[in-house]
This record gives sequence, C-alpha cells and structure tokens, in this order.
Amino acid sequence: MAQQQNTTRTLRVIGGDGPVIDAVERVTGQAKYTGDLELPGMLVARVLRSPHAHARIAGIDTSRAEALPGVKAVVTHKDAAKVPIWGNRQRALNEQVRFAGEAVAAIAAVDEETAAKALPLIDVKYEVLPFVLDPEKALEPGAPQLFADGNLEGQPRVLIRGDVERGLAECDRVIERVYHTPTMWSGSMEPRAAIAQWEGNKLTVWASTQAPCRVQTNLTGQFNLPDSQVRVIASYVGGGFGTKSAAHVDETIAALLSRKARRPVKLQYSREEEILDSNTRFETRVYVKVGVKRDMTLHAMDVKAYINQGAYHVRLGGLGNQATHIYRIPHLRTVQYRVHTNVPNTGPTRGVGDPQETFAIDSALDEMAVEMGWDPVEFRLKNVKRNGDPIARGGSGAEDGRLVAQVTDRCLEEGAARIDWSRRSTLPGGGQTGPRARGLGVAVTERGNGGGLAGASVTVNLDGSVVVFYASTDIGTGSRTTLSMIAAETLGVPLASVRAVAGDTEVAPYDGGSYGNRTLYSTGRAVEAAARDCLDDILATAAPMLKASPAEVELGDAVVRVKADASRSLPLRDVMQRRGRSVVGDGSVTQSQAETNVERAAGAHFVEVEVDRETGKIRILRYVSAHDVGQPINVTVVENQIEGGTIQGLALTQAEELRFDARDGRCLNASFLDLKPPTMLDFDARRIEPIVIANIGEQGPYGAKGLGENPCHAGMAAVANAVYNAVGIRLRRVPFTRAEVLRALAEQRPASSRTA
Amino acid sequence: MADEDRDHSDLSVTRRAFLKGGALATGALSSTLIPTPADAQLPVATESDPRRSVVEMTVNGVAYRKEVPNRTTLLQFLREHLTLTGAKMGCDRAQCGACTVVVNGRNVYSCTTLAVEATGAEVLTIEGLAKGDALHPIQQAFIQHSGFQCGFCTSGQIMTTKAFLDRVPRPTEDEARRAMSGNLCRCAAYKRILESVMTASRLMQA
Amino acid sequence: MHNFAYIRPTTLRDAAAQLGKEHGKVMLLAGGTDLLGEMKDDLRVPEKLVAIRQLRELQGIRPGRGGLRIGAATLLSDIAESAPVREQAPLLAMAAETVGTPQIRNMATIGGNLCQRPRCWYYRNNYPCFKHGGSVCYSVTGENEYHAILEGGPSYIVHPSDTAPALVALGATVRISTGGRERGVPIEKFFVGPRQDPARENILQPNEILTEIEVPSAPAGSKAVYVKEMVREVWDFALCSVAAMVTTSGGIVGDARIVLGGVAPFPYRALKAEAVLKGRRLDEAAAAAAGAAAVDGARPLSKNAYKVPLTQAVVTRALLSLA
Repeated sequence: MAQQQNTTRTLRVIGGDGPVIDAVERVTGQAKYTGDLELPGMLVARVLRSPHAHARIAGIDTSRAEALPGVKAVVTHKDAAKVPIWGNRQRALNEQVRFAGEAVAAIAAVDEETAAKALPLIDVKYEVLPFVLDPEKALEPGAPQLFADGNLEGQPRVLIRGDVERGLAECDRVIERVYHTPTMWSGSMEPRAAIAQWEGNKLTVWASTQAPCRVQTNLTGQFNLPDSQVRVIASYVGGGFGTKSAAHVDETIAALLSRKARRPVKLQYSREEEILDSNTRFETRVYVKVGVKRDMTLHAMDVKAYINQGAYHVRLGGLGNQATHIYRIPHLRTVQYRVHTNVPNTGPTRGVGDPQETFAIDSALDEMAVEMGWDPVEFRLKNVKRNGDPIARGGSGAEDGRLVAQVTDRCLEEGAARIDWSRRSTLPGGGQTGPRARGLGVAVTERGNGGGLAGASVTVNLDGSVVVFYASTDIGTGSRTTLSMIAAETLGVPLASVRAVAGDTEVAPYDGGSYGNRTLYSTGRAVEAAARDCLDDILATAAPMLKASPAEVELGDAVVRVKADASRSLPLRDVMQRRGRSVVGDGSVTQSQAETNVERAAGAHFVEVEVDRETGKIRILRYVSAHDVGQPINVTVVENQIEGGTIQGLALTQAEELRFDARDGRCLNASFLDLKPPTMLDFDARRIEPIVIANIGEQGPYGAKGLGENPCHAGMAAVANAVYNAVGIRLRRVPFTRAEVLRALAEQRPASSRTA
Repeated sequence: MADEDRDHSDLSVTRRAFLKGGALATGALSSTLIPTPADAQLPVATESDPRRSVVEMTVNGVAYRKEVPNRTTLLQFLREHLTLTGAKMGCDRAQCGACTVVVNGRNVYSCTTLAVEATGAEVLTIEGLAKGDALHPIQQAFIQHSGFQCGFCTSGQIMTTKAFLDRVPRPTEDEARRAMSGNLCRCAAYKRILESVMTASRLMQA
Repeated sequence: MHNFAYIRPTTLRDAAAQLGKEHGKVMLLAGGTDLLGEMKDDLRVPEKLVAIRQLRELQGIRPGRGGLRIGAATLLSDIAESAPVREQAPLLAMAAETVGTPQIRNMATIGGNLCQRPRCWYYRNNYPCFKHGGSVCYSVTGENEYHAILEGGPSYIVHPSDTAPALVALGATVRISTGGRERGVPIEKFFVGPRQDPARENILQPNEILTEIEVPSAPAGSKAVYVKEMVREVWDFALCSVAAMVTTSGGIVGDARIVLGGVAPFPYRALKAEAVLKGRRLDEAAAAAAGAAAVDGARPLSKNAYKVPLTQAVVTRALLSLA
C-alpha cells in the first residue's frame, strides 16, 4: 500500500490494522441485535398489507380482530398522526395506499400465532384505483395520479453550466444514448425490527436503524413529544446500506401499538416485508447526450433523467455527483424528473443514485471512446477534474468551490497498472475465436464526504479509561473501532483503554447518523473535538501536579509528561485519581458552508470479464478497485469496505431486480431465492483487489475521507464496458441477465456477419 | 417470556437435575454420528392437544424438555424458548443461512427445521462453541481475518465452518468455498470468511 | 404458519394409515425444505403432518437387482457423497450435488426432491392458477422469463428437480406404497404434464407414499454428465439443465439418454436428440446436431426465448464433454 507521508505527526494508533474492537461479541453470538431483545410483557406485532398497488380504504373494521383472545391492540390510519414520516410523504398508516405491500393496519398480540390469526379478521374495503409503475408513463397526461398535486415530486431538478445547446453544436462528435436501471433490492441481512416501550409519557424505541436521531426526530413529530421524552437505541445493527438511514413506518407503528396496548411491542419484519417495505434502490432512465472535440476534450453533456421515486420518497433521490463533479465539462445540463409511481417506496441505498448515474455516464463515455478510437483511460485522464479546478460545493451547478486533495488521476493510473490495461485490445473481441471472449473495462466514480450536524462526547474515567459516546451507529462499518482509534490517538492513550457506546440518543449528543460517507468523516471530527476537549482539561489538571504550565506538558501512552523533561511524568490514572472527577469532553461540528476548499473521494474500477457467447454468462476474472480513502484509520476496515462494496456493485449486474406483474402491480419475486444476492461462489472475492490510496485530506479527522458508499458505484459501468470490449455488445440495461446478453448477441450476429 | 397470556408449561430442567434422572447421557458432542431411526427419540404429543408436542433435545450439551406448538421451528425454539439468540432470522425460508446450527453433526437451516423433528437430536449453536472464555479456533480465525462486517450472518457462517471442518479437516480453498456457499453475507466479506475458514482449519490441527 | 397435528410413525404401514383420500389435508413431511416454506406462505395449510424423514423403511442406499435401491427419505448429501452411487450411478451424484446448498442437502431427501412443487412466481405468490385449482396460467401474459419452452400449456411451469432428469436418464423406477399395496413405476411415468393434470406434477395419490427409487447401474461403456445453468453459481434452480448419458461401443454411440430440466413442466426427454446420436461417432458435429434437435419444437413465451439457444448450447457442450 502506498502511503503518502505528508503528515507531520507520528501516528500511534491511526493507520494500523487489525480486528474491530467488538469482534468477540460478533463471533460468539453475544452481540444483541434489535430482534434479539426481549422485554417483560412484550407483545408481538404483525402488519396487514395492501394487496393492491393503489387503492383508497373505503372502510376498515377491526372489531373481529380485536375480539380475538390474545389480541391487545389494533391500529389503522385512524390512529396515526396526520404527520408524514420524516423525509417522506407517507404517514405511518395511510387512508390511500400507493403500493402493493403497504401497511394498512397492525396488530399487537400475545404471540405470533395469535397475531397471524387476527390479521385476516380485519375487514378492509378497498376502492381499487388505477396504478402506474413506469416513471415516464406516470408523467403522461391521463396517467393515474398518486397525489393531488400530481406525480412529479417538486420541480424538475435543473442544473446548468455554460450553454449546452451551443456547446453541443461546437462539438466534433455527439452521441445520444439511454440507460436503464430498474427498481432493485439493496437491503441487508438483518430485516427491519423495532421495539417500542412507553413509561408514562416517555417513549423508548430500540430500532434497527442507521440514524437513531432521525428516528427520534420523527417520533417526536408523530407523538408531539420533546426530544427529551423520546429515546432511540440502536446498539448492534445487522447492516443497513442506506435502507435504514431514515425514519421508517415500522418504528411509529410499534409505538402506536405499544401506546394503545400499554405494553412493550416488538415489530419484526419478515424478509418479504423488508424487501417490499423498506427502501428499494430507485429505478432510473437516463438519456445522455455527450459531445467531444477532436482533441479528446469533453465539451458538452446533456442529461435527462427519470427517477422512479416509488410511492412516497421525497428527500434526496436522483443523481448528483458523476456528471457534475468528476469531469471538466464546460457545457453541462442535467434535468431530473423525480416521479412517484406505485412501486414500493424507494430511498437512499448504498451510493444513492451514484451507481445508476455512473452506469449511464461512464457507459456513454466508453461508447464515445469507442466511436472516436480513443483509449478509455486516456480519455478520462484528459478530462477528469484536477486539484484547483472549480467545483460545485453543494448540489447546485454553480462551481463556487475549489477542488483539493483529489486523486482521480492516481486512482486511474494505479488501477490501470495493476490490471495491466495496456494489454487491452482496442477491437471488440480482439480477434478472439471460440465461444468465450475476454475484455477489459474501466469506470470512474467519486463522492463527497459526510456532512450535516455531527456530535459525540468522550468521558475519561477516574481510572484513566475512556468511553466514546455517539448517537450514530456501527452498522458493520467498524465505526466503534475507528472512532475509538481517533479518541485514542487524540488523547494519547492505547486503544485497549477506549470503549465506544454507539447508537443511543439519550447518552450522546445529536448526530445525523451513519450514512453518506459521514460516520468517520463527520462524527469522527466530533470525536476528535471531544477528545481534544478532554485533553485540554487533563493537561490543565496535570500541569500543576508536574509544576509546569499546560502548554509544557503532553499526554502519550497514557502518561502525562513534561515535554522538555520526560522524567517528570504522571500516569494518566494517577492524574485522574488525584483530580477526583471524570473529564467530559464535548464535540459538535457541522460541515462549514463557508469552506471554499472542496475535498471529495475518487475511485476507479477496472475489470476483466469473460463472456460466453453461447450461454450469455459473464464471468468476472479479475477486478481492481482503487479508492482514495484519505488517511486510512484502520486498514483492515478500509479493505473490508472496498471488497464488500465492490461485490455489492457487481451484484447489481447479476440480479436483484424487483419484478412486477403489469396487471396488478404486485412484486412477484420478493425473496432471496428470487432476488439472488451473491453467494461466496458468485464473484470470486479472491480476484477482487482493493488498492487503498492513502491521500491525506484537509478536513476529515486526521485527513481521513469517507468510503462506505463509493466501492459499489462503478461495477455496472465497468462490467458493461468490459463486455463491450470482449464481444462488442453494449448492455444499457441492468441486470445483465442471460436474456439480455443473449438477445444482444443475437441482434449483433446479422450485423457482424454482414461486415464479415 | 413472562407473559400471563402465554401458558407454556415450562418443562425445561437443569442439566444436573436431568442427568440425575438418568434419562439422557450428555457427553462430548459427536461430530459425525447421525442417529439411526431406531435410536431417534419420538416427540410425544400432548394428551390435550394434538397440535402441541413435548420435545426433548440436547443443546450445547444441556438437555431440554419443553412443550411447544408443532409449528415451532428449531430457530424459534432456540431463540424464544431457550433465549439462545445467536442464530438469526434473516429470511425464515432457508434462503440466507443466518439461522444455521449444527444438528447431529450436520449444518442445517434451523428456520426450516421443526423443533419436533429435532427431538432426540444433539444441537450445537454459536453459544456452545467457546469453552468458557476460551474462544473456539474458528472464532479466533474469524476475528484474526475480520471475517465479517455487521456480524448478523456470522453465527451461521461459523456453524457451517464447524460442521464442515469436522468432516473435512484439511480442505482446499475450492472445497471451502463450496461448503460456505449456503451462507449469504450481504456485507460480502467473502474473501475474509474464506481466509478465516482456511486459518481455522490450521488452528484446529494444531 | 398455521399449527397442525404432528405424527411421527415408526413403520411405513402406520404412516400410510394416517393418509387420507384428499390432497393437502394430511401431508407427508420429509426434509421440509419445500413444504415448510409453502406452509409459511399459506400455499399449503395441512391439518396434520406425517413425519417420514426418519422412517427406517425409507432410509439408505442398498444394492438391488442390477443396481441400487435408494430409500426415498435418504438425504441428498448422503446420495451425493455415497461411494456406491458415485460408482454405479455417478449421474445421480452429480445432479444431487447441484441441489441448493450444503445445508439444503443435509435436510432434503431424494423423495422430496422428486415431489417438490414448482418455483413459478405466480404459484408461490398464491395466484389462483392451475396449481391452486384455478384455470389460468398467469405466466402466459405475465412474467415468464423462467417458464417452459417445451411441452408447456395450459400450465407453463418448469419442473424444478435436478435429480429427476438424472433419474430419468438412468431409467430408474420409483416404488410407491399405500402401506399394503405396492407398485413400481418407471420414473418417466411418475411425472405428469399439464395436459394430463395441470394441478399436479406427479401421479402420487393422497394415500400413497413414494418409498424407494431403484436405480439401475449405468451400463458398461457409458459416460454421463449433469450440467446446470443458473443465474447464481449455486443456490438456484436451473434456467436449464441436462442429464446426458451416452453409451458407446467402438467409438459409435449405441444408446443415448438426454433429459432436460428447467425447460418443461416435467423432466423432458429429448428423444430427437437421442435419435440423432445413435449410430454416430460422438464428435463436434454430432453434438451440435443433437443440441439443435434437443430444442426442436420449442415454443418460447414472450420473455424466455433466450432459453432456446442456452439449452442448445448446454446440451451440445454436455455431449462434447462425454466425447
């Protein structure tokens, strides 16, 4: 691993590797996930779901269900507050249901069997409404309307730089293509679960969430309570990948039932419920017009995208980073229509819209390189933004910031060298005979780091041990470990003396949560600030004990010593015991909007595939994922993220598409067997090679950057490009099923036989 | 599960009391023996309700006897009746592997095994792997290689590894990959899981 | 899952005595890998389960007349690893090894594998289709990417079993018992097509138990292979599969048995492909001709045309691997 040594301090803890600090809990079954918790008197909840893609509930009679012995509470839309779930158009339970699988009512009973028996006893009269699944059709006149104000969410998002019409006219070559990604599953191993308990007017919710504070904010709104009366706890979370990054209906439904039943209630989603009623990865249809000049400069790009938001999702959605942030494009226009349809709700999923956008943009650029006879790596190197280039600070097109600490070029160069890009044939197939042909492909991606309000506190106990409190979560990204490492490094204590308490809103200050490359980057800065706060206090306490001023002493290896005279020292433990009071440090930070220096994190993916022309099978022979990670905090965690994220990106090429029946709008394949997430045999993980580019940033803790999202961005584009290089077919729709590949090969055959 | 509405007569007995009764010997777990049908115990239907049965099984060396509804899966039995929550419910359809436990030496999906069918069986779960504070070599290997991220699938991965290495102590990587193919890891820590299995094999030889 | 009465008889006679005259009320539970999922999804709501997985009379792999006798409740993992099976009917071992995962094979029985229900999404989502006693196959104008290209209609399910094509190729016989009466049926006759009965996939009556499979030893000079194409590398049902057994003498094909899985409502014997090979040297041209003949008559639906070239390629390659 290449490590750039531009830091002046010697790091003792940060930059190391090794297992996460809660590894023992995770390998012994002791780690308690939400579904593992039992409270005295706890009831079991089940949800009745709509069989219709779109319907109004004309009547709902719960009396027969309520009369069943063992049923303790039934709730319907009449019980739910007329307040949308945070970041959504959806209430906890709605009078008009907008996708098949939406919650209609819920039951709390003494056991699962009773709850299951009671569900069909709820009489629902549906007034079935026409439905629409396709985002473009949903905008046509006469399309079924999901909302009174139409199917379009807000205004189209328009971003304009330069003059795209003029720019395209100035180009030597323009191509126009459309790329399609369907609604896809993007969930985790642990299905959603929530437990609610009321003590008087105080609500406690244990939830499988990435963002306890967002869940708390939602619940305060749903029940009109102050923050102090709502506690949300997410200790161990079995993965999230964005699907648990916001508040969801399940926590509110559990709390409604619990309030009515006056007992704790556990709502554990089944796998099918998790697939249908969590966040799905939104469908995109992206129309791209790309124009270049003969000198290989990217001159103009016109992007029109239809984003299928599903039934309710409001916040985020859409594309954002690839066209605007990676390449220098003087004339750029992106127009995005965020459209509501009757497919299950979408929301953030790993990479949000970046994998979809990377697929479109980096496929289009590859098609252009082929048209012009350019090397795809050279073409990208010529056009990627470099340090000092103007760049948009926020989501607008205005390039009001300056790019710093960017290494897109290095990612491309190191990745190309690793996979031996020079051997790539410029002709599709490269004269390979026989049914199987190999090809190489590349795609570039990037993303910003974290953001929003982050908070943490650090306590140094009387014995010198340290606890980090943060209300964000460790969803498998190792944040307990990396945040503890930041505290240990900052304070000057060994990692073994630090423990982290994650995901409890009552013991830690507000923090947005664990999503969007932000836990390490944003919460990490809060931890660093809190630890520094502690350190100042400790040094001020210890200085008089050592007959020195605070500026003259330092803390290292859990010993406070006089810098100029190491013989004058006191173990931290002694300092703390003589002090007689714990030290509490607070850290709250927001990403500064005033910052004009913009640092982002780049990545470049290279893949060698083998395509079987007769069976349509695409095999990944080798995959190189080069990522700028800033200062790696824990190298093991970093590599694990890159390897896993890369496979999740590849998974989108293989399957994971939700399929709907066109006649009734129901999802037909909401199971693992049918969605087919990768097994150990699917992509040989031994052939996935992470390249960790340690590129110390300016703004993150110790120069670290966020990484969680990026590795899953580029798989679809890189594989599509490699497939073209192998056999000359252009795949513009994922997943790359046998049906898609064999159809494309069949269409190609007459054309190639003509040229032959 | 304190619940006045759930009248499950709890027939569990402590290991000592049960052994005193001499009904069932528990010893070192047999890793390869599958009981022949003649040896297998039969679950006893309760007299009052044919839809409930008394099941007896040994879990992590401790004998249990409990009356349950017949619909109870082994996973529910472990998690809800014995409060052994290491095995996870990821799909409840034999499609993910998070619920994997070892029954009579074989790794199976406990979500799709009825508790009544496991009557007379020896069941090993993640909770039974470590000896006190001493982690099992497989657990050590998973820590050494960080063979997980979120940890939700990890109990199942480790129990599959256990059943596999007991039968194939020195596997090739390809054998190990096939053996592990019934356990999804959505975090996709597959490279590290494979390394963990191979290292565990070496540690178990030592 | 609704609750049910559960009985674990100790003899075949006792087990059979529990069975009724009606499908679905009293059901046999073997490995449960399919049935329990169906019950959880309310596709089946039996009142009573008769557990036969550990029934002594249904266990084990024994030598039989000219081959092997395999108890219907024998686990797939035992079959895949069995030395006698690997020696005398390697095709069956190969097929068994492609089923599901190690855990599935540790739970599922050969009898259950033969009697499992289709994986059609409409069936599994409880649409009132032929399989649920209705009179529609929803796949015809719906999502049919995984459906039948051969012998479909009025139902277009594909038979999901991997061991079935292997056993058909091997010319196995299944033994069926009512407890008192017993009969042997050539396995090809065990499966029924949708034109015969669109609701069911085999001839078993509600009071019958599949007890044993008689597998003749593969003939001398024969070679066999099972090839299965899936979306995933594993843990998947076949997009298409082929069980092929070719017997040659002096380089000339004397007998060929080619059976397809995943493309028809029952294990489909590609008789035309078999005929193409007989009397010929098994070379590239012969394999290609047989591959083409195997999909002769295929009538794909709107979304599964890819299965035609796929099946053709898989058959061709399977045969070539035997050359």
